[in-house]
Amino acid sequence: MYRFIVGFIAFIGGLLCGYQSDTPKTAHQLDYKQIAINIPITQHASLSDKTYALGEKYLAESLAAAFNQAGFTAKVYTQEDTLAERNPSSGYEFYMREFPEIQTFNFTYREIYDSDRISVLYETIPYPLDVVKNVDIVFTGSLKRYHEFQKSGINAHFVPQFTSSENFYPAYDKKYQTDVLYIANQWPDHPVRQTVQFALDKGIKLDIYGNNWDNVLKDTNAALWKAKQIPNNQLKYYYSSAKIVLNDMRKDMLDADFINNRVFDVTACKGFLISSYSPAIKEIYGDTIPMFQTADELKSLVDYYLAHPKERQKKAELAYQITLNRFERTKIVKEMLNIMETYRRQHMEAHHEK
Amino acid sequence: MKNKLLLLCCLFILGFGCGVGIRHINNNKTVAIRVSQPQKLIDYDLMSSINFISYHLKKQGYTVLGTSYAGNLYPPSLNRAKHNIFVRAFEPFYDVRIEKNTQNIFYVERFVRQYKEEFVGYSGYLTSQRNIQKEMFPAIKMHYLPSLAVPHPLLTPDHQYDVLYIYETLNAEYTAFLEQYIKNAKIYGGAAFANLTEQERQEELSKAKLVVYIVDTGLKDDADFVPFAVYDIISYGRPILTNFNPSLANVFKNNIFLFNDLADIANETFKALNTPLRIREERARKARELLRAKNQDLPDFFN
Repeated sequence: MYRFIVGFIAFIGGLLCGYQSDTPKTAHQLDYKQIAINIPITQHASLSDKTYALGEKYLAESLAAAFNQAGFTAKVYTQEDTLAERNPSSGYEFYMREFPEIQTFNFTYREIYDSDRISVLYETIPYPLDVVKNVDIVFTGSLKRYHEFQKSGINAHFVPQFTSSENFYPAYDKKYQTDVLYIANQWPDHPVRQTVQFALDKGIKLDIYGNNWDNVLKDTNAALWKAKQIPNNQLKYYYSSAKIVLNDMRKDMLDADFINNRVFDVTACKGFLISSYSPAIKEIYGDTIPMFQTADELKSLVDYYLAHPKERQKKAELAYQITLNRFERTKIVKEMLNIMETYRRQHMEAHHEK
Repeated sequence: MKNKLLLLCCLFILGFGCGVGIRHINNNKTVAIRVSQPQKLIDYDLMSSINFISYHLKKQGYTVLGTSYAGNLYPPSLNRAKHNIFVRAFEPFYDVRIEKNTQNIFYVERFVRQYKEEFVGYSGYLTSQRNIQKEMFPAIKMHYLPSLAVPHPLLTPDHQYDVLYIYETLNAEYTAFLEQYIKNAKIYGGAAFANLTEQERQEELSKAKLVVYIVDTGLKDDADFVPFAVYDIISYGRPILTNFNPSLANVFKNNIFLFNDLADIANETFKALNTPLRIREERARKARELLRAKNQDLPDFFN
């Protein structure tokens, strides 16, 4: 009898172990070493367009490269990719856009996604508060908005935009030399960009690159428009070789105190930059980037600095040091990953406690 | 002693093998239903369709492990499912995780804002809107799931209300009509009604002399599509007034009440309420029987 009971227990023990052994404990689990970067481009095919006219694409590619260098697997996705089954196990969803997943009218991100996925919004332009509050982590390039978000209880961090010294570095080439360079798109149905309007008013000769300038630059001004787009990997030659590069910003970015990427990219190439007035640029770069508010100011700055190459070089060198020390990709991405991983550890602990 | 230990080991290994085998057999017929519903409430019609799918699967020998939604699509309790039905609600699935060696069906009961990118990566596709599907996504091969209902118990009438109005989208005119002319009416949104417990739902249906279910005609449905919720009410044997539909009229004749357009609802409500109680209840029972006869054996979704 005793032998029979022991044998029976051994069999049942084996049965239970065998039954439990097949339980898929890891099914549907997310991989927090994977990051899906979602950008505001509609079609997947645009990802392979080397001259696509949207800065976020290049910023996202640069970000993905830095994440990959840091041991993560990051991939860039368009809106078209969102609903298709593409990277279902990415633990982090990194948004550089608000639509459609975050901009849900009545639901939070956690309700439309499974609660173990971590959402990150990288605010390179200002988004409505209703959208920003939906995500787990917000990186904003505006100090002003960072303080606003903090007051609203949003998990926000001030992380400015950045440049990559792998892509943007001093690369003077006589072939690309110009006096005054301006690279930006003219948005359809919008007023002419301020810098170009001022330059046209004052007869400043610019070399203009970008989309949609055909309706603005007509007749005698048509020759100012040199080309639609410069491939991103060639921008460094243009920025490094121009005597002056001009910069301006969208009004909403200016109002929210953002600094656009062009500032970091141009200065990383030791290009000399003159910008429309921005308190944020002033605070960080001081007088290394001269600024204008009127057409007359622009005209006098251009005239002065064209005539004073040594001063140009001195300011460009100082601005270059500031960019390299504070806005280089490696440093910014390291900071981002620290914040994301800290959140993940806390989030996982809270999840396990539940 | 050595032989005894060896025997024990053999018994353990035999048990282990049996355990793995039993598990394998059990798992092969496990299903999880995952719904792209962000809110904690599921609409009555969608809930009825999910209940019908569960019923159908159980009839075919599957074990339905559960239904997940509202930001918790992948609870550990559903991990061992070898089959998944992804039910498209009002919002798309933003978080589709597909495990290897599982079968995954994407089901669309009613087409709302739908994108072609959603139809990627599943083992198969199922819809209750065959014509709309062909019109919107002709390239996608989808199987057809007709709307039907779980065979419910026949409810005993307990006439406390004249009308129980359940809406997909609130009809303000009809609500005003109820308030003015039918003093004793109760109104539920589809989601609120579905959020009741099964017992509470049965009680509410029993209490009503007439259940009015108004279909949202703003949704682009097949002309012959009848919401699962309508059949669900019929399946309980309760008198119903709903939108005219040729497939309802042909099958149920005068055993259910139908209105042609919104201007017609008030008249039909009076007509239904003025039908002698015994006849109204008898017709509802007859409709329930006709529905049972209509219930058919459907094919296995996963084969």
